[in-house]
Amino acid sequence: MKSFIANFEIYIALILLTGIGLLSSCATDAEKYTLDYNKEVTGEIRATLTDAPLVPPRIEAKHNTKVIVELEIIEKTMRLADGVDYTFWTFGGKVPGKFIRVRQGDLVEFHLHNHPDNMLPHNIDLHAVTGPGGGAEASLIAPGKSAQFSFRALNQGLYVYHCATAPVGMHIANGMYGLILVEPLEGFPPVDHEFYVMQSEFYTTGRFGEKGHQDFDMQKALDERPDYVVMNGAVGASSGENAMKVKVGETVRLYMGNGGPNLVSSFHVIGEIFDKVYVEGGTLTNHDLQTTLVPAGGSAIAEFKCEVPGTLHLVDHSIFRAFNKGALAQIKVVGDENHKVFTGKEKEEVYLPEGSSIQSISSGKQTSSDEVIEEKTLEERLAAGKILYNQNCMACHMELGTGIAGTFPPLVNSDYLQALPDKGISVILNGLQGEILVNGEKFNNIMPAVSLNDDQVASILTYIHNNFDNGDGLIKAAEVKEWRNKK
Amino acid sequence: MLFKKELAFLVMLCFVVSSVSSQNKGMVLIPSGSYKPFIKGKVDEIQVDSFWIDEKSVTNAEFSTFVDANPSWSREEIKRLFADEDYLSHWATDLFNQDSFLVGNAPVVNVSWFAAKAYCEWQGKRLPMLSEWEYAASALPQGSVDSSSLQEIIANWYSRRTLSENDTVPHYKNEFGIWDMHGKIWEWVYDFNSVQSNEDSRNMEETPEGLFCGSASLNASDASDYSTFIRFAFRGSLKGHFTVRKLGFRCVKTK
Amino acid sequence: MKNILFIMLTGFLIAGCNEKKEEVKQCCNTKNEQKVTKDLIDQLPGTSVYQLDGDWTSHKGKPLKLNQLTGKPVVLTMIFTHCEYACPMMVNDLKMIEQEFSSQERNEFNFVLVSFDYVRDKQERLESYAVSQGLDDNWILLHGGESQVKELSVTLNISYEMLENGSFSHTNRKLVLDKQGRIVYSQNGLQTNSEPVVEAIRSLL
Repeated sequence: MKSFIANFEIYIALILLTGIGLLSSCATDAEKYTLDYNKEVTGEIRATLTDAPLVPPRIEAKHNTKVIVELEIIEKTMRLADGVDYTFWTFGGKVPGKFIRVRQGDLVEFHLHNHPDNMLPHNIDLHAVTGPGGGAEASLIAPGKSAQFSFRALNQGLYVYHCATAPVGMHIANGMYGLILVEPLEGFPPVDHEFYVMQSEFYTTGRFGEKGHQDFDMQKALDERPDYVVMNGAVGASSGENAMKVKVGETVRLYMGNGGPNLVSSFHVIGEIFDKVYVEGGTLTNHDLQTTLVPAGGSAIAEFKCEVPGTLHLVDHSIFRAFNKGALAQIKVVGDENHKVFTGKEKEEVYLPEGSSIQSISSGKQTSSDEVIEEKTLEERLAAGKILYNQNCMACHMELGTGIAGTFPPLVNSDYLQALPDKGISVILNGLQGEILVNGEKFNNIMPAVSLNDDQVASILTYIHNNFDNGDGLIKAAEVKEWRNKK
Repeated sequence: MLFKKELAFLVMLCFVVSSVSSQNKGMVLIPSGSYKPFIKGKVDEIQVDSFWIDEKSVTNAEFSTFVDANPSWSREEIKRLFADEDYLSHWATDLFNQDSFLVGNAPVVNVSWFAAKAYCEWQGKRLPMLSEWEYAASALPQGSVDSSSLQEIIANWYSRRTLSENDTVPHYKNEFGIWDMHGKIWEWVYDFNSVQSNEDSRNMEETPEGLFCGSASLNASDASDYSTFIRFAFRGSLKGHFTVRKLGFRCVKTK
Repeated sequence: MKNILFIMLTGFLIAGCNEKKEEVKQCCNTKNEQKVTKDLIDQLPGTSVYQLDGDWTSHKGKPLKLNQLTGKPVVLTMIFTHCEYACPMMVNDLKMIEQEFSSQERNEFNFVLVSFDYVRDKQERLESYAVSQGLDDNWILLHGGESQVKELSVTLNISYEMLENGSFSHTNRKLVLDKQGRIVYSQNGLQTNSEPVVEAIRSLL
């Protein structure tokens, strides 16, 4: 007995210990990869750099490595819009600058070159750098000189880089920005296409579209009034024949940056929804977004799948920037239609509201006024009647009185109408419901009562009778009045 | 003869005067004055004493006479301490050899501070102080009504890139009578290393006293004057032995 | 008539000679001294700081040219004695570095402090500063004229500016030069890590 109790206590103790053990191990969840930068990197590779909208392939090495980046600064005159030239200051020859791709924990050895034909000194500040000025202090170079510095990519994310030489705003405004992606060591999950899009503004002395060579306008930049807001460095840089191309069913990841210098972008793709967004280019993710904010000097990563063919428009949804200043890029999706997702236009019809007068379902007597109505001649009735018919009846009974088969009965040579003792006055004044037979066809619909005065009713009916082969009669307003009073 | 002595004196005087002025040939006398400094300091205006300044920047032809007379400053013999590998590299190009007369009149570039200083001293002159250079350059082009014509010249230079250092034609004369202070080349000044901009140009704060004695920070008096900003940033990127394709110089002389 | 002509001719000659004379003056003064220095300098490597030809005075009153520093590694910086904040910290940094060496080793290299203040930091002032700072004989303080101070500061990439009150605003940089005056290591700032400087000096001993 004693031994059993003793054993029992031991069992309890063991269970408790196991329980505590399990709980404590569960408590530490799958922790985020923490970098130990005292650990050496192995090997070295030369980074592949690309111009927008292309993205370099990811680094294959399974371990952290040294990545050598060579970036050349070139001051160059290029097209800003059709007929408009601008002298851009570029990282790598184009605006935006080259896309750099490394992984968290890699050691980047950065070589910055300032072409000897340039006028000005430059440097670089990469937002991915933990260090003074983001590298700017270590990299100021006069034309014809180079600088080298190294940094460890400590944090994952999509980072902007830009020049930080005085006057900094002007260097940025002239095109000196780009993106550096620090992805997790194992890389982002593969998708069919990755694209690089960067929004930015240009401040020119002339207005948007004014032809010729344009200079930078400092006052407009200070006032934050850009003339151009563009995707990928020029109006139409990634649209039309330069549009990005994708097939139906393919997945896309957009690396989206905003070089500023001033504006925040409300980034939206017309015709698509972002399935996943890495908010502001960091590790926080959001889903099912229509529009995402991209801060000046910031970024976002958006993923979506192209389900239907067509052209997707990438815009800044501060919409005048998109349609009037150039903040527009395109992805052309080619392939088969998918009507389960989007049918395109199914029907196109004339839309006319039903009559210009008040319509109601008949509910009782209608009293006429005591006004004395002047009678009209046949010609007058026909003329007035035509107008009234077109306003009140044509929508359903059609211009030529043909009606619509199965829905609205015809008026042309209508045996039903001709059989009516009141010539149709009751139909207009009371409406008509229930099944009727017109020229051998069944109709079961509701015609609302039409609120017209005696004179108008007389004219309409005269027109219907005469114009649509229902006899030559002239209906008088007095007749209508009499009918009203009778009921 | 009665007037012999006086005549002799007059004749001597004439020759002395002409010899003095011939030493300042090609130079313009800048009168004393003041200008608003770009870097905000304790004073609103900087006083500059009168000085002589070269009408134009030193040309390839002029510099080559210096090199001929002082072979230690030639491309072959210059020591790396005093100039980097690109020193006078443009003299080895075909352009210079084919059109040597024309290009001879273009401003000399690819010269270091040491070389520029040595040239000026060889001429009995010196490099301009930063304040002298800025003061002389602040004058507007002759005949202009406001600063827009000067802005135009500067924009032509590094925005539209229509002017170049290989240009032998003088472009504009300013109200002091000197040519092309802006628009062709950057120019060395004697105390280019007095500018204490932090190399990361965004550090605009006063540096803490613990680091500098009597700190001076890059505080601009006119933040929208971007061309001056650029000029100061350019100077901040230089070292004494640097040679740059767009950088030359002119000399001054104390009055 | 003849006399006038004679005077005019003399005048021409004198005027003509004026410029030439100056040229000759520049190149030919103290020709012998210059030749000796030139030979020494020619033997120095192309990147040696000691190629700078100025005439300095040490705090002990000895006239000095930089090439006379060859033969021992040098830790070099620029200060001024009226400096209240940065320079005392810099000197302290150098003393900390000195602590890392045995007294035997300290004899094998020099600390050289060059003053920005060519107006006030003349020989006597530098001497009393060395005493008040307790600097040993392996420390050399130098005074020189404005132009050679400027030249050295440009060579060492040290920015400075004289302020209205006669003091200086300057960057703080210490450099290690090898036995022939080439810069092998430099460090910006104050109260910085002394290890790499110590290592650089050790590697030259």
